[in-house]
Formats: sequence, structure tokens, C-alpha cells
Amino acid sequence: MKHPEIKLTVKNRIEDLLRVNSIFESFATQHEINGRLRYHLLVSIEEILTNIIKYGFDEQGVHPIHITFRRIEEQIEMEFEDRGREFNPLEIGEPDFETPVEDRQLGGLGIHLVKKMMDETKYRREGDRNILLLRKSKETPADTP
Amino acid sequence: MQFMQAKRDGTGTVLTFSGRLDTVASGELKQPIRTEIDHYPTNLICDFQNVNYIGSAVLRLIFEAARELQRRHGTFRITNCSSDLRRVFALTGMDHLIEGGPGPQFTHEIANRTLRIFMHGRMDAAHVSEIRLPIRQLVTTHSGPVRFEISAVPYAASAFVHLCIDASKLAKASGHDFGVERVIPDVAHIFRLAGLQTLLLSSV
Repeated sequence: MKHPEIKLTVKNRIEDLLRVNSIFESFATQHEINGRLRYHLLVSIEEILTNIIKYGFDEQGVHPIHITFRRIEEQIEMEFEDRGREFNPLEIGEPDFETPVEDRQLGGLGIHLVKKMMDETKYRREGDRNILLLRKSKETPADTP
Repeated sequence: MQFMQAKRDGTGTVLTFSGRLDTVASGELKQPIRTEIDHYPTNLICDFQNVNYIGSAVLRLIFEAARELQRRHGTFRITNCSSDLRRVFALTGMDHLIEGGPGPQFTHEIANRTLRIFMHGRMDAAHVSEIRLPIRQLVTTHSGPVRFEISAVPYAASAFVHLCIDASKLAKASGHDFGVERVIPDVAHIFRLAGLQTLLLSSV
């Protein structure tokens, strides 16, 4: 049986984030994804997309990014696919938590949040495509740090 | 009717609201809104140009209408909002439905040498990039403690956390402290995950 899913394609522009959010909200309502889980999925979408947009393409210009939201029983999957250079955002270094806030270097925070909020994050390179899969169970408490 | 007029064309329906939308208005609006959604379930725009107040009962009707349209894979948009109404929609997490985006705004005041910046709206990467420069400018030119008051921010991710780190650095450079006040639980959780709970001064 095919699992319910929504596919969309956006461009590598930060303003396209609004459209992705709006379509995700529709998917979330349909599948009764609410509260903090919904919030965490929205944050994860934003962090992954902004990373792909900022670092995923060597050449300037418009590049498509394909996104799939899928529900497999009580699991929510989100897949991001692009044809940029080989780039695994999950390998971005962890932010520095030891230094006082005022001296802290920026970078790595968004991906750190995604790893904390999702149950599973997987990257693979297939041909010239980067494919990133995020998975979160509807039943995992979303408020655990 | 007194509080709402409906106009339809080939592409959808525009509901133009007017006056004070309180509990009394909600009683009169419930059925007509329902009828519009049932008859024309594809595209709905709610125009609030002539509205001076919106209460929780009407907000609930608008929220239910948006949810129903989403369920039917239609589109729902809010248009012509005053800044007060934007703030109300931001507080209820509906500001992403406002046409042209929620346009996060901020106001500020200086009292007892403390610069307090009141923010409202979704603080995602796109919107933070719009306010980063003016916020930096305010913080840089101020000499004294800095506070972000964010009770009307229903959503924030790492871009907003970065803005706070930046403000903290700028305030510290002139020998002053920085903090975030009146934070809703979901946003506070993001700060904790980011290891920045020390910036949180109070919650709502």
C-alpha cells in the first residue's frame, strides 16, 4: 500500500521557505500532527532548507530542491533532494557549547537542533543527487532535550 | 449583513469583515462563514481592512475556516491587517496566513537605560534576515542593557537564536548585558536545545 505523501519542488531561495511551511501545515493538519512535534518538524524543515540553499550549490542561479512529506503509520518522514555538489549537512561540526555566549562562534547550530529533535537523520549520495531523510515518530515525546 | 460581505468570482471568495468583531459578532458570523466554505471550498480570502477589534470567538471561527480549507486542499489567506491585528494573529500562531507574509515587526522603548525591543511574528530565517540590520543598528547605538521581549513570537529557529547571540555580543562589547524576556514554552525549548538557557530571563 502506498503511504500518504505530499511532494513539492521549490527553488534555492530563502523566500520559498514560506511556501514549504504552508504546504507542510496542510500536511500536518491532515495527519493530526500538532503541538511541539509540529513545531520541531517545522524547525527541521527550515534548518535543512537554509543549509542546502546556503552551502549546497557552487554555481549561482536557480536550482530546484525536491521535498517529500510522508506518513508511514506513526512515523513522519521528510526527504530533501537536490542536484548540488556532494554535501552532507549532517557532517557540519557541532557548535561550541563551552565558550561563553558572547564569545561563541556561530555555525552548526541549526543542524545540531535537527539532530536533537529528530529520531533519525540519514544522508546518501545517489549519482549526482544529495538525498537527506529525516524521520520522527509521532509517539516519541517531542519535549525530551 | 452587518459584519461581513461576500464577493465571489471565478477564482474564489473574498469575505470582507467590518466593525468590532466581538462575541456578539461571532454569533452572527458563524453560519454565513460556514455556508461560504461549504458552497465554495477552493479559495478563500478574509479581508480585515475595516476591522478595529477582533475577539477570541471570531479568531476561533477564522482558525476553523483556515483548517477546513486546508483539509479540502483549498487556499486560505488573510489580507489588509492593521499592525494591531497582525499582532493578534501572531499571538495565535496564524500570522503565516497573512497575505505577503506576516512581516515581522518590532517596536522599542528605552526605560531606565534599558533598550527593550518588542518583537512579533514568526521569526524564521526569511523574516530574521529582514530585521537583522535594523536590530543590529539599534543595539549598536545603545549604551545600556538590552532586552528582547518576545511574548508575541510563536516560532523561532536557529536564525533567531543567532540574532540573539549577535545582540548579546554587541551589548557585551559596550559592557552591558543582554537577555530574552517573556518567552513561550516552544521557543524556550529551542534555546535550551541550543545550550542558551542562560539568555532566558522570563517566560509567559
